Amino acid sequence: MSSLPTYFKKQNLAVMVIGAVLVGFIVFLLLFKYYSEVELRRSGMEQMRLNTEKHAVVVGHIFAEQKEALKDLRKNRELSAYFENKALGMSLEYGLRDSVFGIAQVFDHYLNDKKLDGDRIFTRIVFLESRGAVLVDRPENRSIQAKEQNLEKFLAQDPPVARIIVETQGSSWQVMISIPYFFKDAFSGQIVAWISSKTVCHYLIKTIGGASGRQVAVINSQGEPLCPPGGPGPEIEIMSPQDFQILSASPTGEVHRFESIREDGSKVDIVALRVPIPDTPFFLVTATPAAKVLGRTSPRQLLAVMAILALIILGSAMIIVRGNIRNQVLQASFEEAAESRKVLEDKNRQLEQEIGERQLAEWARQQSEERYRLLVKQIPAVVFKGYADWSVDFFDNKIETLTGYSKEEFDSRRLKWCELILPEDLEQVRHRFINGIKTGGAYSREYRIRKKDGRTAWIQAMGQIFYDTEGKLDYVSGVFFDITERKRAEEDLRQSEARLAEAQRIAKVGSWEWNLRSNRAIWSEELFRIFNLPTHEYGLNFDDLLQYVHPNDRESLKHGLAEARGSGKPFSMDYRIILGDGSPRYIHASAEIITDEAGEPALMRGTAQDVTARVLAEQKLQESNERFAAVFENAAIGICVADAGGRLLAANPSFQEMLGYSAAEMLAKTFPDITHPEDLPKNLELFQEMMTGKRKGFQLEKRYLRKTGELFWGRVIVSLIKDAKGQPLYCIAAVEDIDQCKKVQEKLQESERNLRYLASQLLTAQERERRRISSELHDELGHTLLTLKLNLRAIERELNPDQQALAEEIESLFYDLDEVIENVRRLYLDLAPGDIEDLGLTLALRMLIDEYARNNQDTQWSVDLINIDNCFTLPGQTAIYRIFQEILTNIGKHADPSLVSVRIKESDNRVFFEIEDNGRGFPSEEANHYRKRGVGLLAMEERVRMLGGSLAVLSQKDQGTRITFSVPFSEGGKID
Amino acid sequence: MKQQRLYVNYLSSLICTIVVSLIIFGLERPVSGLDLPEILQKGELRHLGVPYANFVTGSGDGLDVDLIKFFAQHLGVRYRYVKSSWEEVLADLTGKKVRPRGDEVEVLEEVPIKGDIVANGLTILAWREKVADFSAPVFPTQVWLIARADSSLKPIKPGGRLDRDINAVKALLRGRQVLGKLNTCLDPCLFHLGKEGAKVLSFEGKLNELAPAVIKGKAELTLLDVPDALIALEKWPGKIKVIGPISPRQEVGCAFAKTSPQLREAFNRFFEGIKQDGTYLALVRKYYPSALRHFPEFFKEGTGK
Repeated sequence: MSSLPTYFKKQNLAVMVIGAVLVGFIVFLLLFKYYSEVELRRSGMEQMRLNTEKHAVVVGHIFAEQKEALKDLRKNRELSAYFENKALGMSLEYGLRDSVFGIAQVFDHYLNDKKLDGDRIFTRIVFLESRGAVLVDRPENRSIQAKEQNLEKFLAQDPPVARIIVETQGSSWQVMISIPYFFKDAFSGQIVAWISSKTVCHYLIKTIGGASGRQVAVINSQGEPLCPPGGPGPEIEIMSPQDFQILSASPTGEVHRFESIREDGSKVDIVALRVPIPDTPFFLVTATPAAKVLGRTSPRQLLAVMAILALIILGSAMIIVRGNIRNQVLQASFEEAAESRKVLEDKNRQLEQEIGERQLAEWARQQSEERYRLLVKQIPAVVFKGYADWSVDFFDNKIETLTGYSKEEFDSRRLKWCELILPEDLEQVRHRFINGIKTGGAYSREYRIRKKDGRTAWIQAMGQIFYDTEGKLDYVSGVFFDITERKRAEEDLRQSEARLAEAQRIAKVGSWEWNLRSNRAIWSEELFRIFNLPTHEYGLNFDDLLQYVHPNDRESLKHGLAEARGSGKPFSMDYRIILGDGSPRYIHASAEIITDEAGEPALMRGTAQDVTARVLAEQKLQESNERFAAVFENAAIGICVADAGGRLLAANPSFQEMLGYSAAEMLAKTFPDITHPEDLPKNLELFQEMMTGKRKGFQLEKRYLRKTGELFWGRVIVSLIKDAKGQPLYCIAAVEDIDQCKKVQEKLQESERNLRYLASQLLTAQERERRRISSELHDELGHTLLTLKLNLRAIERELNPDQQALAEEIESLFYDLDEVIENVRRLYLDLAPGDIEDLGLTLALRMLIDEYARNNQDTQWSVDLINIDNCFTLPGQTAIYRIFQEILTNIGKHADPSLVSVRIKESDNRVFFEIEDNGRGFPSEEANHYRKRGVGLLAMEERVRMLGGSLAVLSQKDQGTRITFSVPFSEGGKID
Repeated sequence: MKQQRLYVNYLSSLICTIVVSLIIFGLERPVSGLDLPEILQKGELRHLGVPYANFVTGSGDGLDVDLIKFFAQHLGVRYRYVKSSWEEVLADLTGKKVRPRGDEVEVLEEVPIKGDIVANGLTILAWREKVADFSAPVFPTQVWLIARADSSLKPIKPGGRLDRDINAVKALLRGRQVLGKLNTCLDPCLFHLGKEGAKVLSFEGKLNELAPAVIKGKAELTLLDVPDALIALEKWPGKIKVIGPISPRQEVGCAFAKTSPQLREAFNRFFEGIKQDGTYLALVRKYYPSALRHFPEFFKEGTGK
């Protein structure tokens, strides 16, 4: 009882502490609640702003949707039909009115069909023609239509675009969508559609407004609501018209809180904001009683209330504690005394029981330890007892032999067993140890330890895990064996086997042993690989092996083995095996017989080597040699082999026949001996380049000398054969007799020269004839026509005034005659371009190009000419002029280009002409076809060739044509 | 004696067969059409029709098909459609094949009568009235000159008076080819287009194919009555254009044989009834909605039932 005052002091202190903690907690709660309320208000207003913006987007989407729908209305066939018929000149009385009716019908259907939540969206649709006239105004409402004459104000501004219009009429306003209409890309009218305010307001109330006493409204920039109070507007009206005015002057997106005075004079605290409705000129307003958003009490009020509550709780708690303290003291004293007595009695009983058990256990332990020490001393291993912290107890000093560390070092607990285990093995040992604890029972592990002298030792640890009564690890008891020597022997054996296997793999040699008594064979891994069989403990015995041996080799293998077995002599032979996939493999086998103590054959041991690659290579080589010999002997062309010095080593019969030498005579020759002296330098140069590695071989057409002294043309292809080091061994030459071909070619060239001469003569004659005809036309026909014209003029002058009809007839004849004269003039100018003589080639070409440009005005011309008047003789200039005429005519007739460029340049006493267009072009492979089609390509080429020049045509389908030609100056020609 | 009796029996059988044949085949060629009592007695009303525009579509319906079906229903008899052609339809009604000579007709031959009433947008023309009687007008019409859209001929500017407009249209026709179907309401000769210098082409196809023929380039111009022209404008907008009127306002009626006055009277009473109760307007709205807008004075709303 003497401890009771202390007890009470402690309890009072505890009560005070608890009270203080409680007050602190209440203060914390109050502050937390205060800041939560503040945050709640802020988030409430933010939420309201976000909701309003979201609703504004929804409302904006409604208008945007209607705008898009009205755009679709434009695609209606009736509208375009009206404009098509109108464009055809049809009148309303005869046909066009029906088109107007068609549009009206479409509008009527549209007005009826387009609904929002069951209400019609549009109240009126008007089609205004581009000049402002009303074409269609639906639905028919004479009173409205008569009143509103000024609909052209809705016509689209420039550029015409779809837009939403607000039309104010007095205190109310309405929304219209105006869509421009285009017929064949020309602005042709305007569709104006009135949106029903009633429908929009109903939709707003139904989908957005109404909930939580919220009022939603659409207002214009003056603060006038789309749905005025008392109309089809909101069921909840908490904002007065003045409130809308106030709100319209405030920034958008900002929440405002103010008092609104209702009609009955009561005040209501509201929060409201307005946000713009996207793509429209008006705003969405939402207003809500402030209590709905901000709560009915302010955070400060809440703070005061909760503080008072906290004080009351604290005071009450203190009074209760003081009142109950005496009773608690007495009760605690009694309970403490009873508990102490009970504990003392229990402890006495336990002590008596433990003393008896300990005496018995001590005797048993002494007996057991004695037996255990005897066992530990006798076994050739280190006995240990390990604990969870890796400390180990050893029972004798054998551990020092194993590890170099003394027993005392382990007993002192300074050295743990895990410190000896090599780090690379430690994790595995630890892992297995943990697993062993889970699974329990005996275990055996092998791992490495680091001895005190730094050397590594392999040990085998065998032990048993023991658990305490709670199932936790108590200790481990077991033995360590030193297995270092065994491990080293195993490693040596493994490495030896691996080396053998690797050697066998490289050499493709498998080894085998055949126990002749048990008829059981052991194969090396390589042998299994050679036979393409999965590795097995035993190999195939002889009978099974024969199944794989090629049928033709079976008997010889049987015979060879039987003979070796009988004689005891070593055995060696080649045979083939057939693998599972049917492919053959060549084996070289050798074996020896091992006899037992009695001299009887007991074992046959041997090797089998896969020699397939070698055998196949030999076969291919032989085939190749045979083929070469056959080709060499039987080839129709001459083939000879010469050494690096050019001496002939071999010549086939064809080559011998070509030159008329026998085989023996040929071997005494070098290739210069049989080469024409004029062709020899070239031949020697090529031969030297080949020998020095500059070229692999060469081809040459040269003349050979026959034994009779005659010459013949041959085409020789020479290849060099090198040795393994890349040094020239010999060369092989294939000679084709092209003597006849050469002769034909020479004749052909002669014929071509003649042909070209004829062609040039033809062109010259043609030019001469043209000039003659031109001269005839100019001098004879032109003169005659002129005389005729003068005579007619004289007749006209002789006519009497009353012969008006005849005068008109003569006037008509003048017109025809002028046309004929002009045609004749054009014809003789075309036949003999006199401009060249008069104006020079450069200006004549310029005028020619200008004339073509005039006739092809859709084509852009780029002309870059230099003065070439004195570069060529007159026939040369005429030929160049003709070429230009031909090219430009072809462009005009076939190319249809948008751009033609003509360039003339000079370089190295040559003039380069280039005419390029970006017209249709033609595939270059069809150039011959165009030559034959008479587009003048052949004549152009011939003219250029006559002038000693060359012409090239480059063309691709749809990518234009480029014609270039160059002509050397005529003798004495120069650039001015 | 026995042989004589056999001969008499054989002769009697032959005479009976001839009499029966005469009765059967003779009935097929009556000299006059049936009037109301005979039709009521026979229990069948035969509607002679030629597929044309939406009057007789050829697909089993049409304004006139529905109209005559209602009439048959009103009479309490069966309805039977008898297909005819523009050349034969009046002959099939009256039993007389005729050739129009201006406003007069020339009777060519007598043919079997095949129907009791003709209804397929038949315009009431003077020469037709010489052959048959017409009911009260059931549909207004007018003939328009139609041209292919690319024609150089431009639509006239309405002059405020129909006769002036017709003259303006005819003045454009000199040297132009006009496709029409002879002996029908779209016969260019009816409007004396030949005298105006137009080259009249006779169309061998059906009336419904006149507009497509112009669009295909068979001719530059053709004639169409207003109901058909409005349908063609809807079907092929931008392909054809209306140059202007070629005839004054005309009317369409149902034709009856001159020997069927009671049937005609019954039809007129029936038609007046359905016009008043709105049934006929519903039919017109179904087949020719645009006609209601073009001829509002003709299709005044009835009092309704």
